[in-house]
Amino acid sequence: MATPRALIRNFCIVAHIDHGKSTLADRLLELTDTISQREMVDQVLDTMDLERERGITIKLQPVRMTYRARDGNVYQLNLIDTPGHVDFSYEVSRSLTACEGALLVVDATQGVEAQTLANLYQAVEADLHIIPVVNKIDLPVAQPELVAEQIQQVTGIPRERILFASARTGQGVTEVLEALVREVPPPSGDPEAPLRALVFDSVYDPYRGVVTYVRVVDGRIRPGTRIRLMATGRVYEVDEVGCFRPRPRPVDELAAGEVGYLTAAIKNVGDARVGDTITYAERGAERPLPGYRAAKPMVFAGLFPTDSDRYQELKESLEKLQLNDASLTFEPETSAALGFGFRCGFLGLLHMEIVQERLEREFGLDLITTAPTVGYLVHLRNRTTVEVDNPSQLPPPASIERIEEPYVRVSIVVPSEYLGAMMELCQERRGTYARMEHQAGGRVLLEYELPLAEIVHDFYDALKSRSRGYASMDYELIGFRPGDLVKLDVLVAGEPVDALSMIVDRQRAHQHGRRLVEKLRRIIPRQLFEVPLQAAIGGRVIARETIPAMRKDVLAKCYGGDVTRKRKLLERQKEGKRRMKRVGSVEIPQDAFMAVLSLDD
Amino acid sequence: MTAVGGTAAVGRPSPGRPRVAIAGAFRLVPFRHLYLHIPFCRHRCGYCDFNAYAGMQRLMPEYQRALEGELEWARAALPFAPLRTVYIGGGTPSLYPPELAERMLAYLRATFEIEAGAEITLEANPASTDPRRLAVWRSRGVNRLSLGVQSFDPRALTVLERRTDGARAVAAFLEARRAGFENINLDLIYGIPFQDRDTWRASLERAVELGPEHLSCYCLTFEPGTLLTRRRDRGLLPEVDADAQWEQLQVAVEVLAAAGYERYEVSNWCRPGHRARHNQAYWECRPVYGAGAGAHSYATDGDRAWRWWNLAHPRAYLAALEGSPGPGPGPAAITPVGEDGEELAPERARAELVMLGLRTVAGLEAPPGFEDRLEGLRRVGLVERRGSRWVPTARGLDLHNQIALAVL
Repeated sequence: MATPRALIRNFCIVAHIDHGKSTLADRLLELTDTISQREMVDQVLDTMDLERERGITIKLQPVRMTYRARDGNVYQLNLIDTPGHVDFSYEVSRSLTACEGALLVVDATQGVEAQTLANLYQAVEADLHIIPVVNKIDLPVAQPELVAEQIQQVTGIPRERILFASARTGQGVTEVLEALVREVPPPSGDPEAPLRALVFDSVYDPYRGVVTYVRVVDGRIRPGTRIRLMATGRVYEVDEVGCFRPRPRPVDELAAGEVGYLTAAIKNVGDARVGDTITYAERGAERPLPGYRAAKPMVFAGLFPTDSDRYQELKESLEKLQLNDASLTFEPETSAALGFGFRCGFLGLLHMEIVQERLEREFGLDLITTAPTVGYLVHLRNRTTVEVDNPSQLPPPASIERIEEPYVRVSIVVPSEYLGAMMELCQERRGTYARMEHQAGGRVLLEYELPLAEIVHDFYDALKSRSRGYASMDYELIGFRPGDLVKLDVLVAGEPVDALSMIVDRQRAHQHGRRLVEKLRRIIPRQLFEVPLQAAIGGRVIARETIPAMRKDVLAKCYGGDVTRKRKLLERQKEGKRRMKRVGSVEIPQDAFMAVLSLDD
Repeated sequence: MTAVGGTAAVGRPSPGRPRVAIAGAFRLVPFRHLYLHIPFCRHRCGYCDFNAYAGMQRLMPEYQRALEGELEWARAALPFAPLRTVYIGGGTPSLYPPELAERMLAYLRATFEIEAGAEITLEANPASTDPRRLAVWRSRGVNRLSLGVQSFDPRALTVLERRTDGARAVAAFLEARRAGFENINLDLIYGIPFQDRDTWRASLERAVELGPEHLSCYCLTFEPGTLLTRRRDRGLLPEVDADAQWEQLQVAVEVLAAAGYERYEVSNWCRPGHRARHNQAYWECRPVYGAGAGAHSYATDGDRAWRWWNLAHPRAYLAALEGSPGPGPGPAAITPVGEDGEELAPERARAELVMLGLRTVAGLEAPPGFEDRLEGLRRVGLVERRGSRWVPTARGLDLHNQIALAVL
């Protein structure tokens, strides 16, 4: 029997990474008997191995709980878990619009962090009712009062509405459930109006095709309903609707206000994109729900199989990943140094790492990845504009009128003693100061505008090391701005290596070039001959290093008992050599192609 | 030539462990080289990863009986021709009490035919070398002594944890000369942490002053599992980088050439006519029977080859022979004490032949199929042609791994 809308609460949890979101979700599941203690594993809703290992949430996993509240009513609580990383902020924003309320979880030992704020602002923008929860109050170093004061300061929510809990011990968690049913408004919407359901995720299942996660705003969906996806215009017939408890369980219908899933023989997730609106195929809604846009890749890198015979396998693996990841893009790329591969587009660095790791782990591929770069808008003298996401494809300087690069607004939250170090870091990275705000507990919110290219290298590592781990950051894209940029080429033994080219700020090109060849000198092993390394701009060499020739490489002893072991040692070494890329007569290890990532140590 | 027919198996049949079977009708090339392993040491040095054990000396008599059991079995089961070389290595063979050494050497003479002029080497630690032992060894036919000096530099000896000193090494050498040894090798090690070119040169010059017939200079290797390696990994010892190692190697090349020694293998130098004949057998892939705990054997029918090795721990070795000294499980098994082994297909056997042959200045007449690879190595200056042979260049000796990587 369908739950009356008045007894439905849809909510999400927003938190900075490691502030205990997944643990709180685990406790809520237990307290509502959605999952028994016996079935309980840590971070139930993080379904991918990768998520558990990294302790981060990449993909959302919604869940429906049933809760008998103190007022005697039985409520349907739909939790929509959200990814906690800036790469997936678009997915976060779509999940938020599927809810009416948000638990804002803040670690009592850490306080308000950059992502807390970014998520909070998104939640406020989505018009959600915010319930702040100070978590981890059981820890000896917890400062719940101070953190509550910070929360009050940034949210304006009165002190008495802030909850205190320990997701680990369960203390205060029932109060969280009570606040949810008491404070979060029930969903509005009309079950009799034309169907409008928001797609907030879609997942590829090899047996059932695409499973689409929806929040029904108006109307109702049942098996057999003919639906249309408004962005693509495609029409399907629904096979199954259901909810997550936390495993998928079929139901008769999903009506206005409810959250669940549907399957409809949809072949890949690109056909049911996050943010799209589902309506009836006939006499559907006139206008989709607001705010849809396709998630656009921000970071690009070349992926090449170490073994060039496995190109086709890489292609098929990327196609399979794309079934489940509409934001991953790829197109063939040919590199003189690395052979045939793909230029891939990612939402951000974490997304890139995840794709790389899945290709290696799930598909058993051995990859060489080139250093990530951003997409540039290159305005040519002939009044045309090209998008360049690969440094080696940059048109000749003479034909370029100007280049624009993507900029982001970065928010950093840091204890005030590191403020100077953070400002210095942002200045070094071509940043422009935007604003600053002091918070309770001696912390500062600092905002800068920076080229995205400066972030994709090792900005996050530098931020962490210069603040001794205390700074947190978040960023959002703010558009394209002109830059004074040049292409830096690297020559190994006199031959240009296209996969090592990069686009850099002219002012710092010399410094970059010097550091890059210096780093390559350490990474590329000695060869039989001396190998000169050069960095050049437009044919002019700006830095040079030399790898001296190898002089001694021999096993001291080789008698009867040594031969088998030493032969095996050499055979392993030979295997390692095979994985290197040969440019001219020089063998270059895979790491070299990522060397530009960390030039500031 | 003795024929071994049918199928022979290497290694004891233990579940889950691959056995190497020597299959088919063939004729093994008879063994002319014999290695005996004596695994006992008074103390285990920090750099050593050999099959050696301290504190087990009381097993020596029992071990000697087992060794004889294995040899008796081998003599009956496998083809032997008159021996050209015998090498008694360790461990520390000089630790054997004189009576036991006497028994071992007498047993050898009684069991195997030994060619006139055969090279019979015994490894000795200067710390356990004395006139009485030397006299026994010499009178029972040992004609080549290999002294593990390693260094004359006290600091280097401390790093290596050798419990002896340069004075003892000199005394042992002089005692050996007095006992009538006319062919003596000194083992030295370079590339030791805290040693530099000058201290190495000093050690080397003291060795040269003694006038040995043969010198082995080994670069210190950090072997996995040794105390030395653990110390390096914990940051207690610096590693000597490849350039510094090379510079010390060049010191050896210069000093020894000036003193009239020929570098005939990567790590071996000698006066003319004194190449170590037993070790040549390894580098030329000639059959060597290895007896004793952990000893390796190499056999070939001229096409394929087999290598197997005995149980390494002395107690395991003893247990395997207990109750069945003499012929083991019959002529069908290669050895009653084998732990494991491998069969080398003809291509791989040939690759080993090329790889090992190019460790020596004599080089080799390359078997067919290696022309392109050798030609490639010639172009980069690591090998050259001398008549019908391929030989390594001086640089090729220093970069032998690069040769090995190309031919394997």
